[in-house]
Amino acid sequence: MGGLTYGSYGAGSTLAVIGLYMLFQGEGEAFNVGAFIESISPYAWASSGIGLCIGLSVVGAAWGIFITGTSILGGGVKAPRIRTKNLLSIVFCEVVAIYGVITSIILSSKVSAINGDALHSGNNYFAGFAIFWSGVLVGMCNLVCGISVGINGSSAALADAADPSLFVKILIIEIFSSVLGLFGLIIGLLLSSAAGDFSAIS
Amino acid sequence: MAQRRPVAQEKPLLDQDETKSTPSDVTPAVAPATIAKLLFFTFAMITFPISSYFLTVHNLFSGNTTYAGALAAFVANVVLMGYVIVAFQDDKSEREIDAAAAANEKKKSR
Repeated sequence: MGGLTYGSYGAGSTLAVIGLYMLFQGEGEAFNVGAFIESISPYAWASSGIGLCIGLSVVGAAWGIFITGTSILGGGVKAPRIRTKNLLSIVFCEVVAIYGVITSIILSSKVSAINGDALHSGNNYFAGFAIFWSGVLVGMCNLVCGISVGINGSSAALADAADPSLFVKILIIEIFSSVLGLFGLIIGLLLSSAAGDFSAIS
Repeated sequence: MAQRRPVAQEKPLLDQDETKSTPSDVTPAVAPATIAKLLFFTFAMITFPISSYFLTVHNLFSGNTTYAGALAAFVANVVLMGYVIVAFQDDKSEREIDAAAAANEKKKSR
């Protein structure tokens, strides 16, 4: 039993009682998910999308580089000849971060300051949602792609240390996993180009 | 009791003085050219795609960010393929040098 058990049960049952009370007293529309989402400013959606895009991409690339780097070091102790070719895997991981940087630059070029009520037009809401979800899309794609490239690169380093003829075969698989990030980039670009910029004309 | 070994007279490995002092090898395990190439391609990977985006977005594609972004991704892959080619050539020449050195060793030992 975790220490938070009583707290979470207590908070959960309290919230359930309050929720049921409001529901049966005719105030159920307080739980309006759509209104809650709409009450968040399009700027908040767009900015958190841009932040998640670059952040998750860098997490993926860094994760991949650290998996690959430890394997290159470990394999290089016993087989010093694996040094040059295996730095390829590091550059493969770096490309994943660059995809995130490119997408965030494109997404952030769509955000501009808008005065007054013109911000809450349908066009701007769509731009905010599209920027948020294309950021999450590219970020998650690059996160998983970076881990995949990293694990492939680590296996490539260890296989190359054992038998040099295996390296090219594993490099081909590594190229396949680095293409996965490109898929995310393409769809992110398409979705954000459908959004258009933030505009003052509603 | 007579079979007990004189423990105090035996020195453990760490206590023994180093008798033979060979000069330690301080040359870096990786050739400087390899490090220079990696640094150049890392720098190129950061600058080339981003600068190609900003150079073309208004001049070539007249503000269409999607095409400029696709071009930037393409440039990133071109840099990557460039490093693949350079690394494989590097590895080939390294192996030839190693093979030549091994052949020389064999000749000397005969």
